[in-house]
Amino acid sequence: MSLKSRLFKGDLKLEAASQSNPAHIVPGAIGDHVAKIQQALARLDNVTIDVGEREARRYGSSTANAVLAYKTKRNIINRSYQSQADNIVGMMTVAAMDQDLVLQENNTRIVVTTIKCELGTQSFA
Amino acid sequence: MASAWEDPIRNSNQLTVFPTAALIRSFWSPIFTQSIAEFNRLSTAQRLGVTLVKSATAPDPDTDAGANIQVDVAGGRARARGLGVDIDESFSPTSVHGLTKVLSRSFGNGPDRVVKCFVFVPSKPTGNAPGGARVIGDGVKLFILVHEFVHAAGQLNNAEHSPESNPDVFIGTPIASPQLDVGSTPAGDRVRVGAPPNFTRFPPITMSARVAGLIRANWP
Repeated sequence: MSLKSRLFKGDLKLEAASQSNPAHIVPGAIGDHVAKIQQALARLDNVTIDVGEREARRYGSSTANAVLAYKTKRNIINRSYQSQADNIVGMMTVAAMDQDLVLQENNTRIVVTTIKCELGTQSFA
Repeated sequence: MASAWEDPIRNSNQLTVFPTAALIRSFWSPIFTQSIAEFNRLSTAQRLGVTLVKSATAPDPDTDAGANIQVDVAGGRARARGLGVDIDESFSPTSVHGLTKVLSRSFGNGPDRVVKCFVFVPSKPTGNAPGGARVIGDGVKLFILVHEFVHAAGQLNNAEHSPESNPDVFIGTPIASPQLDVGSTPAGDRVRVGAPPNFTRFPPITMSARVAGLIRANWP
């Protein structure tokens, strides 16, 4: 499977995680791919990731909790070896996030607003 | 209120602020640090519900990653890129002014929610002193940047500027007509509000209960 969302597409680690079980992404991981997972979680589920984890692009506890909530909500469970969702981003999770992101991205509007402020130079001298 | 920050950002009660390399190299660098401290002082005193945190990560040009707010110094053009959108507009290097560009996003029929802000300050804000034109003092620079942070943090537009009857750091046109008051030295420069002889001058930086309430309404 090749990822299709603008956020995930072309990211080598996410592409790998979508195709290979050993390439799954686990707590403790660091990098741009983690930042994209954090963004996806925020966008799709409105969750708040800890600022420190976002700044460090680190798969810390708040990211792990958000992954678990995402998977639980969507019943993403690999029945071949588990009975409940976990906090790991593997093939099924990447695919689900990518699909959700594509739907969202196709329905997104960006607006730019301008706020300008300037001091006058009237003199009372 | 123009809009609100996206929920994951609002729920963090923090906004991360990235200073560009150009800003760090300029005389705005210490003002940037001081402005964050000043905003946070006001936030604590007025329980605004949001604080600013300096970030080392620039906003990503195409995604949500990176800081929520970027502050840059501009001399001629204000340029940035966020969420895949290019910003490029004229910006005088010498006027005593500030500019905040707000990038909002909506999904489907949902409401617009703010994702990024790009703040610009002039590279050479100049006033006419008795001895000739010179760059304005740090007090006025501080006023400008804290003022822009109020716009960004509170998502307040110019129609919500403070009136001359209740002046504070958020005074501005078209509600009021704050003036640059050039002192005999840069340290004496102020923002002046009102008519003679009842001027109010800034700094010191203050925030009215009205403006605090407007910001607070935007944060949980």
